[in-house]
Amino acid sequence: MSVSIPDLLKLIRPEANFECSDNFVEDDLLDSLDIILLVNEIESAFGVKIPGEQVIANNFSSVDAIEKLVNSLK
Amino acid sequence: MFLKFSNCSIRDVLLVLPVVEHSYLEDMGRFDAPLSRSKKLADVMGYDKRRIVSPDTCSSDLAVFGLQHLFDTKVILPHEIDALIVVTQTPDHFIPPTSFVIQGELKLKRDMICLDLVQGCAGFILGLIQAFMLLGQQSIDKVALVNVDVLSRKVSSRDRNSFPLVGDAASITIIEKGGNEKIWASIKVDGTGRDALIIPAGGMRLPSTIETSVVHDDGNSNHRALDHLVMDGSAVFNFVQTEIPLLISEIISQADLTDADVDAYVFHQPNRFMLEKLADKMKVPHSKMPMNVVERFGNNSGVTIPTVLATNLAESLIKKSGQYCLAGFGVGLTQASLLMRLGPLNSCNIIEF
Repeated sequence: MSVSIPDLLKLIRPEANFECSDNFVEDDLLDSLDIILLVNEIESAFGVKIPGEQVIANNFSSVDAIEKLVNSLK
Repeated sequence: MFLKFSNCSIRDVLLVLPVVEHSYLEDMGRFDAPLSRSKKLADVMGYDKRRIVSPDTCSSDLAVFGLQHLFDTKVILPHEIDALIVVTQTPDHFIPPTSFVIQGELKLKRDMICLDLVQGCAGFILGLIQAFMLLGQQSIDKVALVNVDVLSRKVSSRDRNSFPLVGDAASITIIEKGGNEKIWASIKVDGTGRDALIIPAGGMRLPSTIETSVVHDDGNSNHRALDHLVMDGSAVFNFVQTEIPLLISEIISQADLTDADVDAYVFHQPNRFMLEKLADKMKVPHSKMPMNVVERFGNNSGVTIPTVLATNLAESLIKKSGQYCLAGFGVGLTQASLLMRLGPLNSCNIIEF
């Protein structure tokens, strides 16, 4: 895996300090449009299709949550 | 709730678009968002151009202009309108209803019904259902349905997530008695989700004051006041992706049809990403679900479905009949669908205001 989730997060919000957050959405590091951009990047990078009903805040609240989502779709 | 109608048909559709066009990337240039992010959003969501009214244009202005055009071109004569339904979230006044403003401006006959409905992105479906119910009356032969919103006036110009996407428009749909085909409708509502799309201040619950006009940062560099529209994008997205596929499969099943019988899925147009995900979930080919309205005209709320009809499907609708599945979803939260044959229409046109 040449691209990592933290790489993609930095691509979407370069100024955000994701390392210091327990919940990216609650800490206002990702808003709804950021999540959509992230979905687009993840789909390109990992060759998966994220179903619309999985595009919910909980699935993008942390690196672990995002990795769990991606792995479930492989 | 399922409803069924017959002896009703759509005869004419007119779309009224403001002449002023804005560019998404130019609008985003006013914010401190990186250009690369804006370009990605434009690509993924389909944001590009949008039409908005001047700051002093009201809903009735667009509606009167459109109806006068229909009278001038003899599509319908004023005395033929037995009922005028206006669906809007941006009325000219609290009192009187905007339908009465329009009736008065155009000097329509007094022996008629004027009715306002407050609805958002499901407004075209709800308006049609109301029209079909009115046509069940012996004394009503033709209904003019006006869908109109000038929501750009209620969105903060400093709200970077909402302001650059909102469009304004009006449509006028003439519905009349006639036609043998069954029309199927389905509506579901969930008022517990009403805060997902709301203008918090300005009504009786929280009247507009100096305080409600003060603009605040929402934490994501979107600056808006309580007087402005606010949307919980994630909640609305999830609602649509979870609920709409079921709504559509239920109505198709209720009508004893299959997906293959539907010629086109004409849905509300929030953005391309949401519609692509919806089509994928429903296993509908993207070619059967137009999703290009937001990139050409912005999200014009309750007018998006007639916008699809007048821009993507006009040629076909004038020539022949087809089986169409319409769906609107949003404010309320409301989800509503119609399964009906449309066409050949008498007219299906676009004019600029």
